Amino acid sequence: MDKEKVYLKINKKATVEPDKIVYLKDIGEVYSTNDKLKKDIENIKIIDRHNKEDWGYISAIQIGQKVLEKHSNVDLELIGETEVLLEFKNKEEKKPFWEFIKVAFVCLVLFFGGALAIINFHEDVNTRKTMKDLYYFFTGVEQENPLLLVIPYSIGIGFGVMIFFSKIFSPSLRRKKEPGPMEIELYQYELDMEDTILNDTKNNKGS
Amino acid sequence: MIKYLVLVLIGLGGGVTVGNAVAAFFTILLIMPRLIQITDTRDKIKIYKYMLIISSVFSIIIYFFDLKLYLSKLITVPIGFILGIFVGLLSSALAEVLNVIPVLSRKLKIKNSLKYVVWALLGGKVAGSLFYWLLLK
Repeated sequence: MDKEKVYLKINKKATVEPDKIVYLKDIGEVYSTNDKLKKDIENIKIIDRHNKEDWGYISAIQIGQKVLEKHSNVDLELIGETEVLLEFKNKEEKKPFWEFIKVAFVCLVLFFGGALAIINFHEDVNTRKTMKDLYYFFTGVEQENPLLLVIPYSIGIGFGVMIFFSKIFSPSLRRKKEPGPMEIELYQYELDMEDTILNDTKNNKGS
Repeated sequence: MIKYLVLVLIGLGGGVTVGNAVAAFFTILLIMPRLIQITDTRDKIKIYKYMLIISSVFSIIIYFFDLKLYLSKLITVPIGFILGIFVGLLSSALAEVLNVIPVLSRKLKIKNSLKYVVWALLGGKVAGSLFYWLLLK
């Protein structure tokens, strides 16, 4: 009898609940023309209960071994990642009040921080003199504090920040789905963090 | 004679260095890419480039010569507004801001409320600027 071809696609990261057994279907996808075999392989136990929140890691080789132990007559083809980062994480319960406190805290920090930063910036590059010079260039009048120039300037700063962070206003769905710099930075930060955790977990297991 | 030649060379060298620095500054910051993304005008990038060159030369003329235009005072309102937009973009594009917010949101798990956070930052910047111009002397 010919060996059955089974394709196994492994995800980069899997989030699982700590008090549940991790099956193969939680960390990847299986494809086979034989439906029963596919179901069987999907329900292979990969890791036991962990019982606490933590990070873990398992390599594609180990997964392949577990599959071949149960079904020695399959031709296993591994596609996708070479290792999975496992995040053991409890189901989160919503705490709206706590969330509000946190958001308020961050907002306060950024509000006063932003104000301080812009004042520092003005002092740093001597904006007062620049504004005076610009006012003189356009109107020919020497004025110490050209309010007509600097109040619109201050409002403009707000618009500049909004333009930078806001999503694109456009009727086209394609344009609306383009992420802003903040979304990109967040995603990048998370990727880097997961990479680092994976690396750390691997190194700790080795020693 | 040779004295002046050396001076010209020093000036030219310094100018090339500063010009490069300005160009590098604009390229590294996300301001131009972001504006191009928003307006969807990637093919007009050449115009923007020439605009930067013209503006550098223009600003040097204002800076080194005693020029005035004798325009109405009201012209400074839109000019101030546009200057503000640029500084707003600049201060958001600085790497510090872009790095702090992901860290805070991750540490405190407030990914869904990021829009309020940005509004707080925006309000802080405007308030800080108004405070600087109106109250700080």
